[in-house]
Amino acid sequence: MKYITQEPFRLWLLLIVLTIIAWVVFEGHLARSLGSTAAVLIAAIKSRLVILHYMEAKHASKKWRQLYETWNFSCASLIIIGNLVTLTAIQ
Amino acid sequence: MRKVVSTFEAGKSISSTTRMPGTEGIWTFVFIDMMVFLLIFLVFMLERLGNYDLYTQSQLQLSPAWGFVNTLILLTSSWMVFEAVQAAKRKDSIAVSRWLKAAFMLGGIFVVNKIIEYYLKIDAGIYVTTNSFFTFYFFITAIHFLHLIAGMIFLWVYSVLSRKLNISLKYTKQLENVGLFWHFVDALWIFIFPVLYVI
Repeated sequence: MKYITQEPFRLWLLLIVLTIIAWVVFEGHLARSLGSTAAVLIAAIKSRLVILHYMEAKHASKKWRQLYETWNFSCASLIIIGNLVTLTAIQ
Repeated sequence: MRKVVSTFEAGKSISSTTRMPGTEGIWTFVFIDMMVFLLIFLVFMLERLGNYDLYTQSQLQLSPAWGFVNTLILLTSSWMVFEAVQAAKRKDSIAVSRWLKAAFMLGGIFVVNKIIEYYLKIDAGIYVTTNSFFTFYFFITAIHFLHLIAGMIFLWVYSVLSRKLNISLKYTKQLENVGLFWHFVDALWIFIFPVLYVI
């Protein structure tokens, strides 16, 4: 049980909680665009936590940390903007 | 915190001024893989822009619960692989093997879930050629699935090696590479889930 007090476990717990929040937002049938945006934003936060802490990119060279963070930001931006553009276009 | 790591392997000196996990090669490999998936997401979003109704209707035929459960599975396995790497740094081979096997088992549950999900889709008459949404669905999830299988093979191999070999600096570095790849598979799924199942 020593793992419960350690950072990797607490990080895992945070990731699980964020996943469940995203699930509740989605299942709660909030406004579609708001729900989708929130779900992708939470995904970006989770992915960033995995990259920085589990991949240990925070200990990698600045170049790799910036490249991986840029990928994470690009994925989230692409999905959110793409979705908002689509929802605007169909109205 | 920065420290100097220096060793002498295979006749050449390896020196680094950072605690950078894994090798430059794996960071490059994973980044190339990341860019490929970014392009796939871009093409998916562009296709979705022109076929919104089709994509929305098709998405309703997916079961988000499968994706949700698989996200929990991969996040948990990532934590276990991280613990395995930390155990390797302590040269605790028993813990390394235990964590890697636990992560492997979770990977196995993901595989079973995905096979059942595919079976249910095909049983409902949904194939890769049904429409462009399902082409993306099968293509993206199958490519991710192959990455997961490759990761599981590495987890199993390094679990076995941890008990047969002494935990050396070389083994730890290689296990960090395996970990980086596994965490990438996890990070990828974190985005695949909302793209295919949620938005």
